Amino acid sequence: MSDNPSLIFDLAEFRQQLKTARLGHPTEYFPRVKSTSDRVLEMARRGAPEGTLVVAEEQTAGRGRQGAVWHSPPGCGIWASVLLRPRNVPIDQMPPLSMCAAYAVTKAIEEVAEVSSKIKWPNDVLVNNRKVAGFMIETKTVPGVTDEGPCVILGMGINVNQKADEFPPELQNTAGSLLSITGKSVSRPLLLQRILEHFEPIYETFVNSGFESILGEIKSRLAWRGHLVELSDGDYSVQGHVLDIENDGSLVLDTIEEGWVVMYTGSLRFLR
Amino acid sequence: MGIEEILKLIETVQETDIQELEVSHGDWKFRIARMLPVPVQAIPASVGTAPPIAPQAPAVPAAGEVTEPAATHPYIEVVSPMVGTFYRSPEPGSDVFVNENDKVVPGQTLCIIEAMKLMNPIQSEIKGRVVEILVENAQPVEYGQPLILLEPV
Repeated sequence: MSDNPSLIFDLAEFRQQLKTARLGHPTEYFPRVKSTSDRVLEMARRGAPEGTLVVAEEQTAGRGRQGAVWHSPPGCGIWASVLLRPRNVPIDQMPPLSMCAAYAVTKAIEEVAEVSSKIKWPNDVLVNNRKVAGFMIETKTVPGVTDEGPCVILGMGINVNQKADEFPPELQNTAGSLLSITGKSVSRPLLLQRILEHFEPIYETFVNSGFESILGEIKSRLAWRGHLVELSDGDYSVQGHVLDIENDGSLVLDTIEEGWVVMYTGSLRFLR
Repeated sequence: MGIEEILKLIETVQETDIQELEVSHGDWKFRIARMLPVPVQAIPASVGTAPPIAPQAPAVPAAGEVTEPAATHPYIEVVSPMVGTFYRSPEPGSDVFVNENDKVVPGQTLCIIEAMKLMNPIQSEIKGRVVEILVENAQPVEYGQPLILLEPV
């Protein structure tokens, strides 16, 4: 998978090209970590500034939601976490930040890989209905450091240059990489650079003007709108058609049994 | 303190992020509190009406995670700061953050509320004992819903 030396993440190129004011400054690179988000948290505890980025060639325990493991092998993906300190954003308005990150990734993918991509609520990125990117956001309070608001650690996993047969069997039908879908490999430093450059102004808008200011753009990229999906969350599951996203980021489904429902958590599965 | 001064205070509070203000002045004592809308989780709206909109709220605590309950018991209620799903452990199968009767210290994580894949740990603000865990693991919770009862020590 990583035997081609050209696949090693070129940190020098990344640092040289990155045109952001804060995101990615500083950037730390590790060949192998358990979790980039854990690394960022350690740095936050030592007073790292907003924008601090950790990139890893390989994550041995990359985390998804509630213990789900993000398959993050070496040489072919972007496994990274960035430290944010959104000031004056009440905690109950924080959740749609993940959608903002997904939006930035769709813009960067369209530009760099020249393929259209969609946002699967709440925070996955799909290309050709396959998941190529996902996020996990954790808020942390760090005594003495977060008096002005919590640290928010945004972890991202982006499948870039895996071949189709390199995904574990259980992901074969739902996951994909930019290479496996488009047939073209993509420069990971360039893609990460463009993601951060797109995300920085989106994040600033989110913090200063609220999620509503970005909602229109996000809705226009919402996957499976009008389609029948199943939303499941623990023991609960419901089927319905994807209608809309509300101002607070919640998803509106038109269900058969319960009419219109507004959802704040759960994962979607495409039905038809 | 005159009514004009109170009205001016209310205006001032409205222009800030202050959620709640308690003022004592001579024999006067009053409280100004914001009422925020409570979002809903999986509440069906009747088919064919406008999209579901958060109903007007009862007076729930706005930003804080801890509130003095109205009841007479001496316990502190830890309430949910947002709509989401309540988790007692960092991942399925792992140890829970706290059990009933556990002692807790300020800053200790009690549970996680997840919304839209954002994991928000809820930490104890006091030194105390867990009296009761009021919500089942992996259940949806409302904004302001009591999650855990703590007894201050």
